[in-house]
Amino acid sequence: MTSKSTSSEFEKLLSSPVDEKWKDVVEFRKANKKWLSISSNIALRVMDEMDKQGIKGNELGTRMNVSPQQVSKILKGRENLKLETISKLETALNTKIITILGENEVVVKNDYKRVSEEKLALLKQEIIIEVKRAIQENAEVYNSRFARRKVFSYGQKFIRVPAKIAKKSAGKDYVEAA
Amino acid sequence: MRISSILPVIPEKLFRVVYNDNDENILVKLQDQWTDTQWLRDFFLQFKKDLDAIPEPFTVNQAVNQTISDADDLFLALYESNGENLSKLFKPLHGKKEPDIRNNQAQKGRIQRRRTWLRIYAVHFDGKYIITGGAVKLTNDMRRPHLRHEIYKLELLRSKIKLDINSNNFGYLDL
Repeated sequence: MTSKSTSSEFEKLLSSPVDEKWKDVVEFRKANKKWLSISSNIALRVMDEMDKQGIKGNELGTRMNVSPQQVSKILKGRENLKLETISKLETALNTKIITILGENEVVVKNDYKRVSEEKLALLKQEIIIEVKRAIQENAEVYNSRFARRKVFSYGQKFIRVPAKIAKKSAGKDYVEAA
Repeated sequence: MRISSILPVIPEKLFRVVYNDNDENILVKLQDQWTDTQWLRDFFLQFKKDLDAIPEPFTVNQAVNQTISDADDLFLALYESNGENLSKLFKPLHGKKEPDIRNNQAQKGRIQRRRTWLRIYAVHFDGKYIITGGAVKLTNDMRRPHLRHEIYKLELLRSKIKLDINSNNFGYLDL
């Protein structure tokens, strides 16, 4: 049980007004979650670029021709930014902040190159094993022109190599071509 | 720093402390900080070593995004609770004061997700929760200055309302 003195001290300090502003914020953020997330990511991108270029908020404001207060709001990542403002940011920082992907474009993360190199190495090993097995099982088929074409196209499907090199290699060694 | 008053957040159940040197709503202040991209980025850059020391790898920008998402979840949980089941939302600050350790451990086992590093600190007595403050807690201990300050505020309230430190109903709690 809590002592009477604690309850009494609590009552002495207790005042009445209930401030429900925090509830309004919860409702607002729930209803606007998607664009708030985009705004925050834009702010992060802008701050990274500012650090890279060694510029402060007031310099960015001057370049954008907006007030320091406006820059501060943008960097908090809670502004529903106009396309005009985003364009100003891109011009001021001389960099792309948002990109609209074309039909034949994809997003590739920075570490894709490393991952793709690892995948490529694994794929090469798989192809080597597969080709060796096939040759052992049916040497005549794989020595035929048809078989060489199959292996060549299989390799080219996964790995872009200049056609000339691929053809040359395919002619003498299927594995190299792959 | 002194406590000037206690105001209701959810009447009869959840309260907040008002300090003499700053009369702003603590809950609103925490909401503001924990959804402020620049504030969070500065914080994680300042405590980059602590961030790098946690088992799950996070870049500063990932940590900012995670915090904003966690903060939204946390305040939404508080909002939706409407003061009910607060004992489920708030956990004892010190594990040894957990009333049923076995249940607690079982629960930890079930929850695979990383625990949030956001903390809202409160004192609990007679079914009432009184919020004293909050912090981003990246370390296991409370030795960082901003965390020590939160302990100080909890102690301040405990002392002010003359709450017995040995009372069974006493606990420093985090969300």
